[in-house]
Amino acid sequence: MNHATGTADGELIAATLGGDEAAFGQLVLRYQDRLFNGMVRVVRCEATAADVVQDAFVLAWRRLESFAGRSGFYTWLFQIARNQAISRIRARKSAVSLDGPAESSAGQLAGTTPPPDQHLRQDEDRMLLEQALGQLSDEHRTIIVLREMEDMDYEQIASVLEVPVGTVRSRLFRARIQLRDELLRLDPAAGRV
Amino acid sequence: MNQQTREELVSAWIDGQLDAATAREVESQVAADPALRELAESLRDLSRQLRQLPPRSLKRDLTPAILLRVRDEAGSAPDEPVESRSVTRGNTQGATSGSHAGAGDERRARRRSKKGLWVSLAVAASLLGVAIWLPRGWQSADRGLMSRAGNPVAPASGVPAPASEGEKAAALPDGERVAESPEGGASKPGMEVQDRASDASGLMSKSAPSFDLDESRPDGRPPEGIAGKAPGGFGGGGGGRNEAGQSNAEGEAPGGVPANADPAMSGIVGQAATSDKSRRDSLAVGDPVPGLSERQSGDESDHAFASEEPGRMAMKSHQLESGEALAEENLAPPNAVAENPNQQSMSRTSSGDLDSQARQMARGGGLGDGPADKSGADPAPLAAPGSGDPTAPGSRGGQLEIVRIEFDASSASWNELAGQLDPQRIVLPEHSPAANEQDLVLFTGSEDDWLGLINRLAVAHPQARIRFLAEEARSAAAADASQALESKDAPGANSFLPQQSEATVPTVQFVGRFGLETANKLVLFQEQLAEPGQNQLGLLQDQLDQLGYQRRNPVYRFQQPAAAGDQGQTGLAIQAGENSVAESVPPSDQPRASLSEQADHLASQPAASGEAESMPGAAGMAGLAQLETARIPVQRLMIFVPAQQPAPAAPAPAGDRN
Repeated sequence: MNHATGTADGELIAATLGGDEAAFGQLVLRYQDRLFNGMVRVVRCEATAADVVQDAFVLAWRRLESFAGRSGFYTWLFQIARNQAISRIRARKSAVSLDGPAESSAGQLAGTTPPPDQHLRQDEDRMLLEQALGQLSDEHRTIIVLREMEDMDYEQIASVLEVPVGTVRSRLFRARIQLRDELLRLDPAAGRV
Repeated sequence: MNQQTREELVSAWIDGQLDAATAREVESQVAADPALRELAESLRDLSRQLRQLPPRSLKRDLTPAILLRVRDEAGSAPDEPVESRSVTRGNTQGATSGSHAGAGDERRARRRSKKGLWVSLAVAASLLGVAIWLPRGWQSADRGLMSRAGNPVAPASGVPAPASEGEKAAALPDGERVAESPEGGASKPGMEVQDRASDASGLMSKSAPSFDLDESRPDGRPPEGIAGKAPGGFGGGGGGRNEAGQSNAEGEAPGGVPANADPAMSGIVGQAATSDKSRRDSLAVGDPVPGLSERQSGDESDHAFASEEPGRMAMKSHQLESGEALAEENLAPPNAVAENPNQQSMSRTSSGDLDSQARQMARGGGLGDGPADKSGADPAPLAAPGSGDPTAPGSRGGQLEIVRIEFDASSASWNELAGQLDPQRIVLPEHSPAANEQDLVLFTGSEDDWLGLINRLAVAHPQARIRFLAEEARSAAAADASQALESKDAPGANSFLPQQSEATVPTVQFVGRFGLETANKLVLFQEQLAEPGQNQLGLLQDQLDQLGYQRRNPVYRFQQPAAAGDQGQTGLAIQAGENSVAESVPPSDQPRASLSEQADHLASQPAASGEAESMPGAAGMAGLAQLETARIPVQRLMIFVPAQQPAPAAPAPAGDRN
């Protein structure tokens, strides 16, 4: 998050606190897709992710006065969303799978030979990766998302997860190793990873 | 440094998250250790793959939904869980996605459990109360029995009194209390009046703007000084559907205006078409006029029926200023109604009864309607103007039902008036599936001023589809021009619609957006207009032309020629379809007569070729004459209910209209 964006966020936040609903709308517009992209990786369900995003924004609006600006708005927002996501994940723990497409792709992989086309191979790799991500623990998946997809630095991740930076470093390493192992398990031919 | 720590550092090193010294150290280790180098390569590859995953994007913009929730948040209890509110949102906005139903189920389950908790608490509190009361009651009863030996039927004093309405409400769980509200949710800005008026039954007579129900005169004559003479009030009537014999036996138009009604009345006129078998009722809301106040005596409330004519529901606004007016109403002398000799009072046994009847009216039935009326399946025919018999030639046969409310700019602020308007008092005919048209058309000058009203209307009349036509936000220049027009140098001008300001353009896009072209009739009002095309109605009509509306359906257009100092109340011009009447209507003390004359004139004109279906002809003009109940100082809010297409009928005698 660059400085310019942060400044703009601050202005919008101030305007929102001043009663400008449209300013908050701009914040929503600015971050909803990004937050959704992160949340959909975390909760593994687009509809749930959309719910999480909505709830997160509403909660953010409610708590906006408590936003001290020590971290970026998006980091703070992601923290709220992540807590919402955890609540939902816990509530839906009994679900067999939250990712239908990944399930179906896994089924296809079990009974078919890889297509020769390279493009399809890339798609398949992506599906494998998505599936492997789905096999991670919530904790590991979240930190992968924060680092690789949200491109947060360790300080920001520590802020979102409310853990020390050292924990971020070790947890991220373990998450990566687990992901790599999952990929190898799903596709032993992908030993290059 | 152990192996895992070294690997963690490699992981952090590829992320560039190490300080310079540590990074140099890890770099050297990776260079020297093939296993670490392989690890670094695999982690880089993994990172690259992850970053190449296509981003997932929302399928829809969540901003409106979020902002709506935020607005609700602002108006709801701060401690309510956000999830529970999102359920309601989902219901009102439509599901955001397929899986939301599952999430909604979870929320509903949680809400049910919460509701159960409330019920349990209420039951526990009740049991506790009984446990406390019973011993005393028994003791009192014992004492009573002892002291009233020989009178065993005397009530024991220890029996707990029934809970008051307030206690009952307090005992209800939140959800149930909210369910009493037609909104089904937390109150919203701009909803206060309805909240107040449509709260739990029994509260209406206490906190809502009081309204009085006076039985009208048996002869159908309107009482004097009711709707038409209430300065600042809003009154109304309806082209009521009257049974034979109930309409005016003296030849007055059922929907007509009393001859002595003040055409310059200021306020809101609610006009309703309602069936009324047993009596002619009108309903006045919080009228400041003496004699129009709710009277309460003990536990009973007497409600004076202020009827101006058969089958009409009148609404009178009061110049509410915070709670003062309400207090005054409640303090009105019990015999206030007697000040109007033409009114007869009618008692209601309870405010709840009144409330239920008001709701019944809101559903389309009239006060005192029997079960057949409540069904609304076959509304009683609308009496033809000048005819007391709906079956007589010229009868409109229930083909025209108009609910209209007029607001006068000279009254209090429009917002204030809109806030006073209780949609529960607006009578709509039962929605007819055959009338595949919009039910309401509101044409007014400002969207903002009426959104609250429209919201409330939508809540009060979920069966009605409401369309709103508003003026575009004015530019600063136009606003300035309007300000100038408001000055004393521009008599008759008002601030709401900047007359003939080129900068003022009606939002013709609303025409398309709200589907006015589908209305089977359209009635437009505006005062002090210039030539068509140079005013808002003209521009609106141009737009309707483009949409082909007038090729299919008639437009009744009312406008008042501007005349300095006359406040726009001295005459009318009518334009219907291609036929028009000259606008040079002379000032008259009886503008309604002018309207009738013009309606007759218009009705006598042969319809242009190809317009036989679109022009209502004589029957339509007869209906148009009904519109003289508009009390021609027409202002700008119009609610129009197109029922069925008018059936062909003979023209009504013109002379009977007044």
